[in-house]
Amino acid sequence: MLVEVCELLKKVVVGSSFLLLTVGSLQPLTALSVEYAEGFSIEERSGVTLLNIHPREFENYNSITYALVEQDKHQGIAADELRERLSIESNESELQIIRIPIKKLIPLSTTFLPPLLMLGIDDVLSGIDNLDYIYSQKLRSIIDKRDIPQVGNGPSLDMEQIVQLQSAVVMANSTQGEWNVVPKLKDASIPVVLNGDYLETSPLGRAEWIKFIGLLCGKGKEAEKHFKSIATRYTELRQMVQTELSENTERPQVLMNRPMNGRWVVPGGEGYMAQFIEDAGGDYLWSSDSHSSSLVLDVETVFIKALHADVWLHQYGSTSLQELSQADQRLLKLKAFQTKKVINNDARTTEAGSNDFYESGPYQPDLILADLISLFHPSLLSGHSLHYYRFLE
Amino acid sequence: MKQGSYKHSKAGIILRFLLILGAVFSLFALDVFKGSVDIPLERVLRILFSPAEWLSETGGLTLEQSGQRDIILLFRLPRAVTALLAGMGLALSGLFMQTLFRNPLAGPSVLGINAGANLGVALVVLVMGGAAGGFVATLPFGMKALVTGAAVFGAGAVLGVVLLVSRFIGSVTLLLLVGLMFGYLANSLVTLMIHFSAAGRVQAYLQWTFGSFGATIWNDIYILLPVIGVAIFLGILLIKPLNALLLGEEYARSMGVALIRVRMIVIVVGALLAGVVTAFCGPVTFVGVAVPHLARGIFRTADHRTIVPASLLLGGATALTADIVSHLPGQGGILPLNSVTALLGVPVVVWVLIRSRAGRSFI
Repeated sequence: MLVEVCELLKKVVVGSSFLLLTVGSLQPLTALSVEYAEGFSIEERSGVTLLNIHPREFENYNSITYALVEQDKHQGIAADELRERLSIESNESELQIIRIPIKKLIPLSTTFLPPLLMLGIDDVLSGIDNLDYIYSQKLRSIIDKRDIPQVGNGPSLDMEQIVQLQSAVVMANSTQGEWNVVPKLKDASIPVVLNGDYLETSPLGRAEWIKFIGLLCGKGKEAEKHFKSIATRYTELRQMVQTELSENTERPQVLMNRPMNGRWVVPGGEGYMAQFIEDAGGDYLWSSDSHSSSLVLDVETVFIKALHADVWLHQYGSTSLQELSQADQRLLKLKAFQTKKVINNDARTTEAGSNDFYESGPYQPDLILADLISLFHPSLLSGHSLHYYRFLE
Repeated sequence: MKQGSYKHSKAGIILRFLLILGAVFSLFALDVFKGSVDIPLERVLRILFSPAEWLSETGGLTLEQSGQRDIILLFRLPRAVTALLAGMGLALSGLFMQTLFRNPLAGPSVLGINAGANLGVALVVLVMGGAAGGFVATLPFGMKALVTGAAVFGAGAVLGVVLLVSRFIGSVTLLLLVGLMFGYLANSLVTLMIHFSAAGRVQAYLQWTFGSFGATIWNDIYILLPVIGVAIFLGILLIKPLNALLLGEEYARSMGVALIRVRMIVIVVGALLAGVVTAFCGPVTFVGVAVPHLARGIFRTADHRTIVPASLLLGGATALTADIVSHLPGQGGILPLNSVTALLGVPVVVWVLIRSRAGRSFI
């Protein structure tokens, strides 16, 4: 009897505090919108921001909704209760309450870090994956100064460290097999937020995930502002290429990557890099392919296509022309090699193996685009000096 | 050795050899003629047999023609030669292991010899590889020789230890277990090294473990060919003592076989073969264990005078077939070699083992 009364009381208290919250935030919370990203959407319901994630490849988790509830508002409300109040059908998606702004964040991928600097919220950083993968000097010194622990990732995830960081939210990729840390974290009742930025196929779509991180950390407006300026510049550059290049202008043929062990892995024609090349006025050799993931091809297929290519973009590994030719003399036959149009995205890397192209690059697609335009059509951006890319010598 | 009525006549043996030889030639030709790029048969023949007109760099070939020439001469030929040599080497190495350990399960991948070779490769590449990343086939020539040496040394070290332990352990099953354990040890050391290496290399390593005959260029074959050639020559010299070993060490000793020396040579040759193939093609599994059984099943004998050449030819044929099939998916796709060898090979070998009682009576 007593228990029942208590339960009833609790419900009343929670319910009324919820009502208070709803009334308190009646002034319209201007909902941010998502323009380019396909993997998440933002929704406002009764004053609560709902972050829906539905990346195409998250097969295991059809769709997840993060209900962003302010830290001090209705303590102790259960997800089911909130679902009822917001009238979300229970089969719509999994609902998870995240208290915002997040005070402690453990990003398990280097690509989740730059927004923290860009939005001035690096004080939430409470743990990192691996210091070796981080390029930014600024982040490195912050990590060093605050003695932020490395918690690893995948099979080497250090659960004890994470548990010790009490009430920190972990941001993770959704991956398969033993690299999937999500069930492990959930077992330990550690809040996990999935971030699917890497699955976006458009450069602006990937950059837009700054809003996702911004909203979680209470900086949604700033994130929107930041993204808007990036998107504007990107669109302007793309427009400029479209208007400057007439129908008859030769677009340079672009080859990517190098052969490894008898295979040549190239990005798919519907993927992130293909989009960049297209926007920069290049003719990607696999532009008509319909995959967004990489293609694993036999060397000879690529070789015969690659012979004519004007520009050769690398993504990893290749350090110099000499190294390339020593490894495989056949590559000397490629036109791009002979004209020394061999370019790698490793202008900003560290000895330990970090590469800024994969760190700040996703949030500065305008800079990557500018690099590519100046490589494909030097006359269009004559004053530009390469940021992420460099010519191999 | 009960051969009795199962034994083939001399003519039967010769016929079988001729058929297999024919198969090796046809498979080699098929591997060169067919690839993911369509090149008309007539043009392939012209590229191969009237090279003067096709070889000159300035001979007025169109870009398409010179591209096709390069595909035949610089991609398919070295790949087919590599497959042939690697298949022969692995089969011979497996045969040696099975005779030496008197165990049908022995083979380079089972006894941890491949793992030893991996360890050698990983040590050189990860510790000395510099920023280049990638594995053997993407290394400069000097490094390749070094890596090959390390792979052979690694393979030899594991094989040597296993054999040393065999002096103290009578049971072959236990010995195989010891081999497996050393294999695990070597693999865990490799994993540890990978763990502490830059992220990009993990991908490169994974690709390498799929196995491939297509990673080599002619320069690599200048290492591969002499090593495997010498090993095959030594293998032929070893036929007599190996036959004696089949009947047991006591018997071999009584036949005047210098056991310790023979064992030493067999180890060195076996390690050389497994090591050099692993360095260039990745850890190719299955061929080493299965081909000797295939040879014994087809020829119904364990006599090394027959089984050494038969294993060599069947090894080459198996590897070539696997290479051809791995290039079948079309649209320029490619299958991992290691899955192809086992997928194709296991049913064949099981069928041969069940059909012929040879599987039970020899080794």
